[in-house]
Amino acid sequence: MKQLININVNGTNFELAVNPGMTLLDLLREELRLTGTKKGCELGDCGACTVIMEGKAVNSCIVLALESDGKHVETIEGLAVGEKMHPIQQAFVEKGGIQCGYCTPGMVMRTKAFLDECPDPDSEQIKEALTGNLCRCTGYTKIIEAVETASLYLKGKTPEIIEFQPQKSAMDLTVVGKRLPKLDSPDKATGRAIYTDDIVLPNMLYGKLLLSPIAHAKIISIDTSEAEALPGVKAVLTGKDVPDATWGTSPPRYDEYVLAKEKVRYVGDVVAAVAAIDEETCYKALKLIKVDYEELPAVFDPFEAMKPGAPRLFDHKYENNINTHVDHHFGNIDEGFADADYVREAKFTGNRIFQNPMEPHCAIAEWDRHDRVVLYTSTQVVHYVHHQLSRIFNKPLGDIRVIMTNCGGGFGAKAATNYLEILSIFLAKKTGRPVKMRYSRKEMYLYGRGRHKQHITLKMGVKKDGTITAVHQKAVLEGGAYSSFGIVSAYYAGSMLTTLYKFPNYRYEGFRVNTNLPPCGAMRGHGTPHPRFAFESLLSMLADDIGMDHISIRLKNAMTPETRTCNDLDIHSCELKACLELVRKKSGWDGKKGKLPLGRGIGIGCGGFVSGAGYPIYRSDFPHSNAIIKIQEDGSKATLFVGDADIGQGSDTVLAQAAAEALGITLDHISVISADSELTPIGFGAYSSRVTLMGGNASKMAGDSVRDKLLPTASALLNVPADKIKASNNKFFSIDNPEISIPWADVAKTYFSKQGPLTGNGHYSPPKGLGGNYKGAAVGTSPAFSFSASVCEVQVNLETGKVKILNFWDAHDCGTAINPMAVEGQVEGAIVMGMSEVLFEDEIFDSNGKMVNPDLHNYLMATSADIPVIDSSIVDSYEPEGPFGAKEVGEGATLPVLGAIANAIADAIGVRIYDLPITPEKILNAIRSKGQE
Amino acid sequence: MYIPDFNYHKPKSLLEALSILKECEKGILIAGGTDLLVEIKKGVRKVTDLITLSGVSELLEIDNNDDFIKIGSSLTHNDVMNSNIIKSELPALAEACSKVGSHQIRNSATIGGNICTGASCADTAPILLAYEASVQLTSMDSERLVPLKDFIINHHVTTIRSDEIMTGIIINKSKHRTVACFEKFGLREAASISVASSSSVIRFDSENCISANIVVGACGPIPIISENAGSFLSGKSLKELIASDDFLVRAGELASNDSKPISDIRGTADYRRHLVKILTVAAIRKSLNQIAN
Repeated sequence: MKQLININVNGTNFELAVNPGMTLLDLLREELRLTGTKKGCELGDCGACTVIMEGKAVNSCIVLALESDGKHVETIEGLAVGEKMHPIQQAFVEKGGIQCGYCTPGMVMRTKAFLDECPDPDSEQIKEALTGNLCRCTGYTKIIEAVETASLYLKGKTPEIIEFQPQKSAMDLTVVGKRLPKLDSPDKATGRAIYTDDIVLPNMLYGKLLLSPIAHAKIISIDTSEAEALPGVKAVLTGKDVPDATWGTSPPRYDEYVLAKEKVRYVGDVVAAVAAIDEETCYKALKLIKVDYEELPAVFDPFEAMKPGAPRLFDHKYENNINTHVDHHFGNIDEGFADADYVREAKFTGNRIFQNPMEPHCAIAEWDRHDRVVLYTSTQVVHYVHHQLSRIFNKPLGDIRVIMTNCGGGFGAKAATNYLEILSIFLAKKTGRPVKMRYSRKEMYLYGRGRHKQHITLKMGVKKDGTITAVHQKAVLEGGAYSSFGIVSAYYAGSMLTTLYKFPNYRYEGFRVNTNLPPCGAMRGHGTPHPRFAFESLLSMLADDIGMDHISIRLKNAMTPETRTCNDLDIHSCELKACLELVRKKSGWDGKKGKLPLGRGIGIGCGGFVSGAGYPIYRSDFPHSNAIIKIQEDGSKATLFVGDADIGQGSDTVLAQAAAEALGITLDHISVISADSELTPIGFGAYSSRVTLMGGNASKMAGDSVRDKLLPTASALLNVPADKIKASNNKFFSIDNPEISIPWADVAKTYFSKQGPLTGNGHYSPPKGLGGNYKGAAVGTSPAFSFSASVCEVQVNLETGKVKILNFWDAHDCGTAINPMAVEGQVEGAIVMGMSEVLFEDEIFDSNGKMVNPDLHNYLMATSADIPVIDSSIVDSYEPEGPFGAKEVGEGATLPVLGAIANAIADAIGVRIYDLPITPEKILNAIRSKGQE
Repeated sequence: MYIPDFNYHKPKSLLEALSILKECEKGILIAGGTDLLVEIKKGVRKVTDLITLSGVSELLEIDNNDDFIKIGSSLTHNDVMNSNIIKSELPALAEACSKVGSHQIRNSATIGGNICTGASCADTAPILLAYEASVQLTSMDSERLVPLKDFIINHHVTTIRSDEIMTGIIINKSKHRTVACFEKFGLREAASISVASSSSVIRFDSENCISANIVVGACGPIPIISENAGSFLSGKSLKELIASDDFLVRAGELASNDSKPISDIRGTADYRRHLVKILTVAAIRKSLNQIAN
């Protein structure tokens, strides 16, 4: 029964009737529609829902609304005064402390309560204070800077302004190369930014999925009658209600049904969907669905799964459960190993990692009366969702509209179509009403698509001088129940080993194996972090064996510009050597390596990645990125329409910078509309670290086009020949005499008045014919490759085995950094995510295939207290294929981290750990077994 | 995720709370709710009647008497760790409170809740056991004082009766010089569950250790008082304890032997036993350093 409460929220009194079970979070979000406070884990572990109650920061997800009776509650919406942001919000915006923005409201509110109590904190106190607020994007570094800055603002002080040396390639640019706050950050800082779950449509229903409790079973029968009879339930769907067509991510491996037919293949497989008036009714209905299963033997280990006679997940394909098999051989490894003076082989094992974006997946479908569907979703890839829906519902693209709302992080978890996107539409169609579906944190883990756990055997041969002569990698990828991105992951695991170092002879044998576990997919660095961890580890081991310095052996073999790798990847710009030299110097490597006391260690790792996949996921001739720029009739503002998705990495801002530079206007004169299939031209979205280069090229081209259209008008107005006119800083001016100038807006307005709408188009496709002619040669191709080197220093407690990562020095070749502050944000985020993967994270399953730790309480991620001091550098580089010389940073930044930490730990304790995560217990056991030798 | 409806009772005094609790057979008390609401949301606990203690102000005080300190059960971990009384009289308890959950959790979660939940990994229970705390249990008909060691009897099982409210935690003051320390090992730097912990409270007369309580946390269904480590240390002179690590190491081994850890996702039993040794040595050493300083 509802009870009355009186609550003061942000200074306003409310008298409300609430159900006893309602949380304060739901009261704020659903009753008061203050959606700035976010729902991240619902169990008090992530802090996204932090509000201040009676002056104290609390997790509103585990406070009953009734307990707020008579209390004062402050939320993110209460901080700003009108247009003027609170100093804390201002600091978060200016310092780049906001990426996806989903943790931001909670983080800001925690900061508010903290600075109220402790107005003059040092950075250690800040780190400690924020440990209840998880952030997956920023690596906390810029957030801590923001809190420091906020404390100065609140004391009426002005923070010191630091001058940054621009890169050589950005010297003459006015917008590109500048450390500008992200365009969307004020919205995110104030809680105004709308994420999918913040949307409530009139007459909307909620949907939930029934997930299999059994790892492998035949479905004998499903009885939904009781569920359908439950008041409030509007639709129940099972496998018989959906088409027989399969779907998935990679066309050769579409192997998922919309709802299970005949069989379930893992704990979490989707069996039925329910729509009802609220989530509570959905959950009650799910319990009333009776499924009769006939349990089948299940297999969870890929090596067991490949054995003859093992349970098969698919009866008619994937023999021995081998979902993908790759066997690539370039050069001749036998000759290569014969040429080597020294050969070593070792086995490495990765871990099962989940991306854990702070925002759970959510989708809302609305099937309108014109037989058209509109889908709001938190996705990285509007176009691929659009394409997949078109297939499943057998409708042309024009009859479906996919709108990406703000997206609270992805890292690959939202890089493909998901069940919510499909089933919300089926349920909306069945009921004729809008349907919202969202995953709980546990449901996210069970949907899966995280990093494949790889079992790697790596063999490498070197000459006495360190020259690599041959590499042989065998990788077994534990795939989970379905393919998802897996076929690509299996190819990437092999193809990307060749881009950092030159070696002529390479064999890669890869097996992706189905098991009765949640499907694995694409996660930051897609398929390559575990092989890279193995490679960087083995390279350092070999260096020790031949008595060579770890950085020297990397310099010896380092990739150089304009090189074709042994597997036919074309490297253009490459400053790996500069990265290595820089981190050697900054870390004080020469004074530390081999000279640190037992327990302290230093290690190096290198990385790199594609700047966008050379080919689309399904066969298509569309340009990969496309942009339209439309100029307001008075010339006051440009709007960039681009299909690519800003998932928090800051691509809207970066693309706007590229467009504004081309147009000749400043960033405050451009806004961005992105990732809406109706409004924006197709863009493949945010995956394979592609947006800066590809979306940037399209945006730049559209900007160039508008500017070129304006030149004749400017020429007439200035009475200067068009080829002697330049546009920049909101002016057209004579190159010879910059005094002769006219405001940009005046030129645009004149153009519009005479010639009508002023627009420009841009598009980008990678160069034709990338890659070799062998099967699978497309995976790994890219217009450009990034490079990076990281040095890590650690302290290992020799008694407990616990690791403290002290420092990271990273140097990245991302070409021209379009926004250096955003680049640093990517690097810091990747370092902390990588560190968290190496030290803490692992999905654990019991003997029945049930995940043991599907929450943020038991699946540990790094907090602000765990992070090292990060020094992030960008080296001078220019990529001819990229916009203004730019290439990727987002995924590549992950790659050096795993190896650098593993090498540092090995250096600290004198013994190496070969399997991830590197837990204190493994370290201690390694130290002990070394002692017994 | 949702919380099914329940009957909500919000008494405004202890007396009213006790009376509701007596009448309402299925009544469950809620304090901070950071464990209870999570259990309800996960569906592992059903509740029909919830009696909140948030309106009962009697449970929010710290009494500092000549002979004992009484900590109100509804005080949050942050309240306790920030209390000047606790910081000066029971610093190891303040330390243990500071290691529980995150700041937000510590703002809601109460010390009474931490004890009554009876989780094997609770951080305040071991140090309170080492301080030889008792809990005050009050019902409409009676009030009793139960030594904490007799209160927590199994993982999530205590001897509280369904009509009782834990109203306070009482720690007697010692006339003897007392040093104490709480040492915890978690897998990350903050907001982590104890893999193992060790609490030491050691008392000295002018020269000698007259009692030592070593309590191991998260290494058994309940915190384990290491009788062997305690009796080993008792009677040793301060001088000899400070002079040689051998005694500390021996005490650590004894505590380790007395612990009964299981293997779970946070660590194996073997590793936990090892940690107990390390943590116990560290706890005793830090305790002794308090005297040296």
